[in-house]
Amino acid sequence: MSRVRGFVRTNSLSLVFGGLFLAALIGQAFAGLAEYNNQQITDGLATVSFGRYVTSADFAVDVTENWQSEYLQFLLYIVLTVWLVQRGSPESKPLDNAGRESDEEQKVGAYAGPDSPRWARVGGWRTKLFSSSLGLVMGSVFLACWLVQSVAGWSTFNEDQLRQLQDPVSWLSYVGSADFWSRSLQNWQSEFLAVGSMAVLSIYLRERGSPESKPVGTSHDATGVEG
Amino acid sequence: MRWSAGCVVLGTIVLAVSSCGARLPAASSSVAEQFYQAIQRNDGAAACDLLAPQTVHEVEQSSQARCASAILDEDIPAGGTVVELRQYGTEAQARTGRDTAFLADFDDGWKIVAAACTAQGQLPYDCKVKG
Repeated sequence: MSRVRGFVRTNSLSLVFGGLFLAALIGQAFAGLAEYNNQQITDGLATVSFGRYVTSADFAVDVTENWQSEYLQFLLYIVLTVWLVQRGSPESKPLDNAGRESDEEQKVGAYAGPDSPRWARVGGWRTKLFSSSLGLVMGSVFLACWLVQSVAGWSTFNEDQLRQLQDPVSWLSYVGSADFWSRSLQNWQSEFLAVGSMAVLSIYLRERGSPESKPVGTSHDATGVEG
Repeated sequence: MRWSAGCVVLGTIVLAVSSCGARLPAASSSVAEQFYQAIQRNDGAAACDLLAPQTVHEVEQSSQARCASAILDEDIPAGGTVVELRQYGTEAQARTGRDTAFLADFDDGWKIVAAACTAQGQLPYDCKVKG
């Protein structure tokens, strides 16, 4: 029992966010189903079951348009903070440390410690790949989600076209359409605003005990210091 | 993480396959052909059985007559087989050589929502029969 409690305590961040994610996704599914069926009734069409809705393109596009923007946000944040700095922000590296940094600082190859991951120690392509693995995976998930958004959005768009007695369009036409870019950009702008304001507000504001904040008494000028 | 990326890619393929405009025989295509065949043999009752409830209501409302007789006066291009079917979610469009019809998926199967439709460029089709 204490081992379980220990596991929960030491993984509480991912467990809580995993739970919140599932709860929000289930909530979105029920709210989305109600909205979809309300529209169907208004149009004099048949309502759909929960199972059919959660496997529909309508649900898929609503989910993936948010997922892609979140992964894009973190991809950009992970990669751009290698080179870009922000004076006074705990989200930034020290101002004179921009760039990929030395092997010694990154503990790779000859500088790897006994507890370093094997791919950090071995050198060559594996160390190179491992050194960019976080950005590569976040970028791949972003592209995959954006692709699913485009396919699901295309299907939903064409379903609406047919409902309005209009011809469906090709996938290529859809990815150049206002609907696709409106869905994408409305999510991107909110992510960029949130990240930008986090980087700037954390210069002057504090959250005691949070690793995303500087310690409360740290000066506004201190850069790259986390609580 | 790799597993979840794989799922997303698989999801794309499944969606792509299930969402694309199909050109193979489907339930919606069969309903469209049955509708045009009923019109061809002047079987108004059978044709109206294949119409969406809203469409039946609209046909009766505009003609002030029972659907079974009114539908035969609508000048619907009869007969023909479906040469192109485009289906997305619960909506479909079926083309014969002579006409374009729109269908929707109801609890009791696919039904004709609009028929005798003429394209108008970027505007919605102009349909003699619609709900």
